[in-house]
Amino acid sequence: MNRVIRRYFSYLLCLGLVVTLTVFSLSSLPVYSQKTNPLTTEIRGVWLTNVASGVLFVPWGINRALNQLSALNFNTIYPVVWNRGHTFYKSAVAKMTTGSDTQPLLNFMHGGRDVLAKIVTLAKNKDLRVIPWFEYGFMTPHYSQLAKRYPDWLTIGQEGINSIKEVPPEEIDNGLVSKQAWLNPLNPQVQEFIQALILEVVRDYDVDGIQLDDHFGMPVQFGYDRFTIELYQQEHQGKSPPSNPFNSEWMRWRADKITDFMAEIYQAVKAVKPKIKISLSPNYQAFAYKYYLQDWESWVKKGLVDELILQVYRNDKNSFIAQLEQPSVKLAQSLIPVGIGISTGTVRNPVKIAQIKEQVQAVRDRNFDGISFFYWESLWGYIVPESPQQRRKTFFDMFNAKTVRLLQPNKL
Amino acid sequence: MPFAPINTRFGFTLLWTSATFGGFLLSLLLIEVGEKPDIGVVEAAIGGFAIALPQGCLLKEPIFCIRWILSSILGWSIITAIGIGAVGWMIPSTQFLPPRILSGAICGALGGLGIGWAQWLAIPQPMAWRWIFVSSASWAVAIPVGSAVGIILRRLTQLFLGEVMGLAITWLLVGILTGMNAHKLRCLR
Repeated sequence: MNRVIRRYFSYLLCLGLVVTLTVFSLSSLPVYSQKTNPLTTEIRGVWLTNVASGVLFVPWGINRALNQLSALNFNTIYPVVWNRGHTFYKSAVAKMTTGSDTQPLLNFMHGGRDVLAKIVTLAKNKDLRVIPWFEYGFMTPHYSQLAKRYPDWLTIGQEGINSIKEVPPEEIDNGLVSKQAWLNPLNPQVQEFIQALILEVVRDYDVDGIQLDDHFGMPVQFGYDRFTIELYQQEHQGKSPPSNPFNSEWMRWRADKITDFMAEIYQAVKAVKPKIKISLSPNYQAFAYKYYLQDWESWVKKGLVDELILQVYRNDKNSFIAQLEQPSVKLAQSLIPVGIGISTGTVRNPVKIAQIKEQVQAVRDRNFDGISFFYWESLWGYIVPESPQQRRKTFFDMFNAKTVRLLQPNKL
Repeated sequence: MPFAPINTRFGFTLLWTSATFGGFLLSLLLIEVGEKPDIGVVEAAIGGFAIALPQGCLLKEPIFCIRWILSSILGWSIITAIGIGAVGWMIPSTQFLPPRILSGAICGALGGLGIGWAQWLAIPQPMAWRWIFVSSASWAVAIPVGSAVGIILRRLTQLFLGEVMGLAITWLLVGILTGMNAHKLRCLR
């Protein structure tokens, strides 16, 4: 009798479960009501990085991210492909040079599959542009295989100073002071290596562009390595570089060499895929040139950049707006699509959604071509002041109009 | 005997607490913490499954394990469906401490009652009805404590993560408090 009752109970339990789940499951799904606002060409991007973020590593992290971004009408992702001397795709060039074709943890977590290929496939289905981001540019840690195997590729400062305190925004939180070595952007072997990485991505993946950032330059205190000194002497009748790294001619000479390399990259990329975009996300011009010899204003004037995403990671509204109104930015706006990089926060500097909303509005009021957010984890992860759902709701309200596919520059 | 300490009440409580807390960590991979309206029945059912699975593995007979999992899922689904909310994954909308503690105690007691009732159905013991009150009392204590820790951490860090850590405290307490009584379930082994 007892057994019969128990069996009866078990059936009842299963039935109750099925009924409850069936009746209530539909109403519990998050629903964003799609308004019928007109289409827009606004760039709505986000950077996906490997530091202080699990998106590339946790199971279904990439799928979840792309699904959510697409549902909230984002249209561009900038996934990291070059960080700390490692590639985040299957790279024959990296394998040959550093001995490792992919960042080891990424490779392990994805069972040896190519993550960039996965991102591209998923993103295409969601109408998201994929613009792989060469985050570290010429920067590499001293402990990297690249720095260890090719010490001649590194540039140094005076008195043999071989590193710089350089901390990318997402790494500020880890509490470690990162001293970075710097690959010499003037060295032909370094140029060949970096260009080969970029061309490999352009050639092997169906990407919409590639992005370089503020690390695609040279810290002003560097350039005192043997190779650079000899090159300078060759072009200056045997004269050595000035001891003052801020000497205007010495700065200009180095900056122009970097510009020349940028031109080489532009031509090489366009030769492989003419329609692909060269995107650049620098700091503001005065800072970029003075401290990193990155004369991006010249690059824009020379037509070496197709899309500019200016990093304006500031909390103060006036300071934020002042950056948007710099002459170099206005000049770029008149020539190419220009978007603004907005910080959505880090663990140590959480950013309230109200500030993000205010900054997006300031960008729109000044007729920029879009916004990109730094970075995925702080869009609506747990490292933000509000609940993830509240953040998503606000982003959806901001981006309630769908965008048309951004394939061609709307200026030029 | 796979686990030596299981013979003692302390040992079983430790295992039960680990299973419950581990289940919560697992659930964070599957569902997102939010306010009451943000956690639907499906999320609650998934969360209930994530908790009940490791708990059920401590029960010897597969049939009890399956019934434990099913009844837990049912309990979580029902308390969410009837408006109490998925108390294990939701945070109060108020940021003030006194109403948090009060509403936490009430929601915890009711939620625990619902879950305990559903789980009681799966326990084939004459005195199993006690489990309902153990569950209710455990949640009534654990939620206010976790919620208070959560809001303090959130204010200190300005991060929602503080609330998630508060929920982790809640689950740790629930694991300990229910575990102290769950040793009686050993007879199901």
